Amino acid sequence: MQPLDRIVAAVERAAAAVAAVSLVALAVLTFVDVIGRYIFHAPVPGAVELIQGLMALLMFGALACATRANEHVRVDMLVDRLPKPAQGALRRLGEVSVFAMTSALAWSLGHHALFLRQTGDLTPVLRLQLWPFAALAFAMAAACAVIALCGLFLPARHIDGVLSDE
Amino acid sequence: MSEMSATLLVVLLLLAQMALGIPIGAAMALSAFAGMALLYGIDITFVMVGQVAEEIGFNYELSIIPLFILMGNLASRSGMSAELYEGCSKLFGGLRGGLAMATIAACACFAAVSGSSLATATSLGQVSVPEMRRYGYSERLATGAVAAGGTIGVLIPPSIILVIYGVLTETSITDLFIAALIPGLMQLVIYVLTIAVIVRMWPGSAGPGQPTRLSEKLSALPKVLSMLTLFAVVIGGLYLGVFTPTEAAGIGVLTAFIIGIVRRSLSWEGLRQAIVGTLRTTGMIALIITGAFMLINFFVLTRANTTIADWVSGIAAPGFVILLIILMIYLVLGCFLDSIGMVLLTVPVIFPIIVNLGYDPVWFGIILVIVVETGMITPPLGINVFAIKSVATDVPVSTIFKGVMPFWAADMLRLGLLILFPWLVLAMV
Repeated sequence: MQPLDRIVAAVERAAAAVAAVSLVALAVLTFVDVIGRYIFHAPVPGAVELIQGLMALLMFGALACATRANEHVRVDMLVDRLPKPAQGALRRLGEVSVFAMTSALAWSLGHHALFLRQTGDLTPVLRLQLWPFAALAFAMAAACAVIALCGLFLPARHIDGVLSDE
Repeated sequence: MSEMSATLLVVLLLLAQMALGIPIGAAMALSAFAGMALLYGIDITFVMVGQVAEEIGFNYELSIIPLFILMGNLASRSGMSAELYEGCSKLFGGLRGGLAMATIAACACFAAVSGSSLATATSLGQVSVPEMRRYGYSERLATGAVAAGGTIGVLIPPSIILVIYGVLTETSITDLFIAALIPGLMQLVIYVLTIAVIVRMWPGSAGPGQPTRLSEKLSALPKVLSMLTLFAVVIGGLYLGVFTPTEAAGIGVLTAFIIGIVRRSLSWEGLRQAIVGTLRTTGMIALIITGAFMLINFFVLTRANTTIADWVSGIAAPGFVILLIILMIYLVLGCFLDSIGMVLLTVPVIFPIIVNLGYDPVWFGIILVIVVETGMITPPLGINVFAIKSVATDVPVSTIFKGVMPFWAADMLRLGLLILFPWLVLAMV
């Protein structure tokens, strides 16, 4: 495996692991919350803010998985009719645009995390610090930007089994 | 630069990027970014990016999407679709064309746990197409029925597109899910009738039915039971007002998981694949939603969408005609664009027009989804047709498109009924 490949695989695996844990936590949390409310009259305190925090990790972590697996929706009707070298160039242009977008997202999430750290804002119910959520979301978006950037220099391919060892 | 010319530039930039095959989400984001930077400078543009990142990232309502995707993936990984088809084919036993009708019924049940048309078509295509061909069904009917049957998945709740529409337009997702029930059931009934008509007009298109005894029919019921349980829990809870959509999705995931464990059909590997599949689909949707929200912010700041809506409302034509023109545009766009991308791209502009014309937001959501799903079986790009092609590799695409045509006509009939009689949609809301 090329060194670049190895970097992409490691970054993606880390992001996928965080997103997968968030997804499972999200499912368990909503389930426990509903059961708690209707059966034991005791909903999980702060469920909404926990779901919001988990969603940020899930959305941006999943973005990294989709970028590596090349799952993004595009219109390829015209592109498919072009000669192979032109298709390759346009695929790279696509990677550049995903990189530009996700690095802008990462930049503003990072900025937001620093701001929240300064103000020390807390979640309304559980009084948790907000900045670690924003910082993790920043890390996920940055992971996605790294994957898109490395994709520029890697040949196109389809990948199966994101979490498995390639 | 004036707001008008900046808006035009953004739209042109977007179309150019899409034509070049840039991922739609990134194309929307970069066009909005360029337009904002030109009009208001780079600092304000970054403020907008930050707002969107927070709005999308830390969004409670959007959690419905990954949860429902996971629920569908868990249901299909635990082999429920194969069993479901077997059960339905026993129930439709002796009828000519019974296997094709069973395919449609199985699609409807599967759709009840999966929000995706593509997933429904491919999961059931794998089991039903070989079976129908073995019993002497024509390629046309066998592939057409399952490609069309897949589109039931978009409408019968839970539906990813309805969630996105609800979040975008601030329409109640519960109302949308409930309103989709009757049109979804209508689709099931009309498709089954379509098959009855096809086998009557072209008796050679389906082999003779395999009569089943009543006892066999009864013994088939448990096979469809696990899917129906899942559906009853999720939609029943929503309809009775016990759960919010997010809670229903969380309950659905755990119920699907428990059913998989109890039936001993969900392996660790199946669970891992269900989670990985969910992450990829969620990430794909996250990119498009983020891009769309940036574009929406740009349109709101430049007031482009309200300007267009006011202009359209000023046209001296009856609202009904404008509605029909809008639906025609969607039908054409649906042949080229992915359904989620199309909804995110167009709803911010179209929705204010529809509201101005005095149509009900819930009703329009359902009509929109029907038009979009019809696009999935319309040539030349009908995504479901290509999904079936990947399952039945030796059948030419043109044959599948011909097979889909009667169902397409049935869709148009249903669309006409729902437009003429809006209470069919709104009765239960």
